[in-house]
Amino acid sequence: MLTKYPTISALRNAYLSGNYTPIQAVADAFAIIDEKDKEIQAFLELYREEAKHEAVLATERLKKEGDNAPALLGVPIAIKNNILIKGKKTTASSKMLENYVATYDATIIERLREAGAIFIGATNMDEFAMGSSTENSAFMTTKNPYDTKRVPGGSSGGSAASVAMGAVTASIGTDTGGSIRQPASYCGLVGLKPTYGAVSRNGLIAMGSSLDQAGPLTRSVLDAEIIHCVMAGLDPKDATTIAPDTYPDVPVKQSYTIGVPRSFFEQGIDTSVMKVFDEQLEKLAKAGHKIEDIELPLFEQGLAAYYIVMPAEVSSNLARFDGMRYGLSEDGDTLREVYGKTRATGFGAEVKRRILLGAYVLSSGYYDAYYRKAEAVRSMMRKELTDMFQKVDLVLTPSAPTPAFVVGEFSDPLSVYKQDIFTVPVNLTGVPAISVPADHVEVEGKALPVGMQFIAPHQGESRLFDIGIRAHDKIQGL
Amino acid sequence: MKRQDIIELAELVRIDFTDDEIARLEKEIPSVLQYVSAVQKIATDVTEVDPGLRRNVLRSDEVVSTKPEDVEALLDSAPVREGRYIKVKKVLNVD
Repeated sequence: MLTKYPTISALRNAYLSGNYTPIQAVADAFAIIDEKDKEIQAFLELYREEAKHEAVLATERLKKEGDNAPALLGVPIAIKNNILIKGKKTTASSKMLENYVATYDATIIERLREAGAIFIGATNMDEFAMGSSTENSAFMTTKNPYDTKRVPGGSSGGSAASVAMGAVTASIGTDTGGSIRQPASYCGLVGLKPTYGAVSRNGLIAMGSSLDQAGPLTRSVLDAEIIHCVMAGLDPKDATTIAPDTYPDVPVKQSYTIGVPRSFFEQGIDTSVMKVFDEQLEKLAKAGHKIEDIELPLFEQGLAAYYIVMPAEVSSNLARFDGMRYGLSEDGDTLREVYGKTRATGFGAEVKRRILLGAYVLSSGYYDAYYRKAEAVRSMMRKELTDMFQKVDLVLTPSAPTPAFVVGEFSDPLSVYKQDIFTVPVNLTGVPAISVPADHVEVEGKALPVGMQFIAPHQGESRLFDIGIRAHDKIQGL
Repeated sequence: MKRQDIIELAELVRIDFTDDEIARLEKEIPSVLQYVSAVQKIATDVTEVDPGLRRNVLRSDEVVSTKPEDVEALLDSAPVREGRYIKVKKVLNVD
């Protein structure tokens, strides 16, 4: 076993030097899972046999190909269970798909396979990616490895916990309103939400189709870059994927002007999080970047627009679960009865709530007052942000208003929704953002990680990686 | 929003809610709607909604994948299968 949980590059160096092999890495991954996952509950299913087999092949291949081997050869990775792997159960942590077996690989799975990644298992999540804690999983609640009384964040909470507990080198999540960045923040990881259209959604179980993107959760920014580059790119199977030159070039710079929307931080943000954030601002200023206070008044209203647009898309996307073609089917005397019973049994409370809300904002008589207004706000937000990026190179916010909360702490939906206040505007406008570990805060004797979120213009991922590597990897010696 | 509104929406989304669920939704949905109605004050003029990126995404009208094993796997996913068909309850009721 390696003495320290490795990054992808550390793992590769160990492989190439002959000190460590994919066979050992996979054995170690399962040893850690066997030791810790009873308590953490990050994994819904483990792919023991396939992973061991792949590890043997990868070990042989590394001997032959050395440094010419593909980028992720022999790297143990965990996959959120709303991403299709052919022949494997893809449940989206819902009773609706409890026994559903995927009939094809998602495009990103094909690409990760080709790059040599070894899939260790499927990770737990909030049902259909709706939630911020994994408490909405139909099967179990994942615990935060930093304090098992607390949630790992969500919806990609199992993916975050699987890396934080040391089981895998990286994991893949999906992000509709913060579902990669918030768990990354809660679990001390790097989490990337790419530009809308950068990564294919083919083979992802859809939640909000104009918002969803898949991305990595990793220990370093460089690792996030490596995985993102493997997954990204045009895909004929997803018409919303974009060519690399769709937006104006976003160059990497010697120093950046970083905009901070300070008035956004006035309500509901933890003082300990604010303290960590201010310390990071000082460090960035010392490193030669220019910090500027900015105003993004519409950005601050993002959550209201999000909780109209997202449920509207949810109610349309989840109409497909009708008990006819795949997934759960409850018997009834008529077609209508099959629908009603299947959807009543198959969906959990949060999913039902959002479907109902979505149907309401789209229904005749309310469409103009809600959905149309929300889409208009979204356009205005996009313009506000594009204008702001004429003045600043990056926008910086905390990733979430608090460190990880205690399991069961929130009972009303609206207070959980507010956890996503800094992340949802990014999905609404389609720009990329990365959550990078900032520091830890002491809560009840435990050191809980806190992240900060860099936001860049459309297709500005390389700028995010550049600032992230300088503000995190270099400082952490990664 | 009244109880009757929730019942009508439930019919639209084809979910058989229990009375308890309806009672809870009667409280929760209006509180979320009140929060999101903030958009109505911001977007007073919605004549121009930016449609986002637009381009032709149609491919040529050719069959690209019907490997027999794919067809089998898809049909096997269905709750009730009869030969090459998925069996469902009667769709049209003619008196």
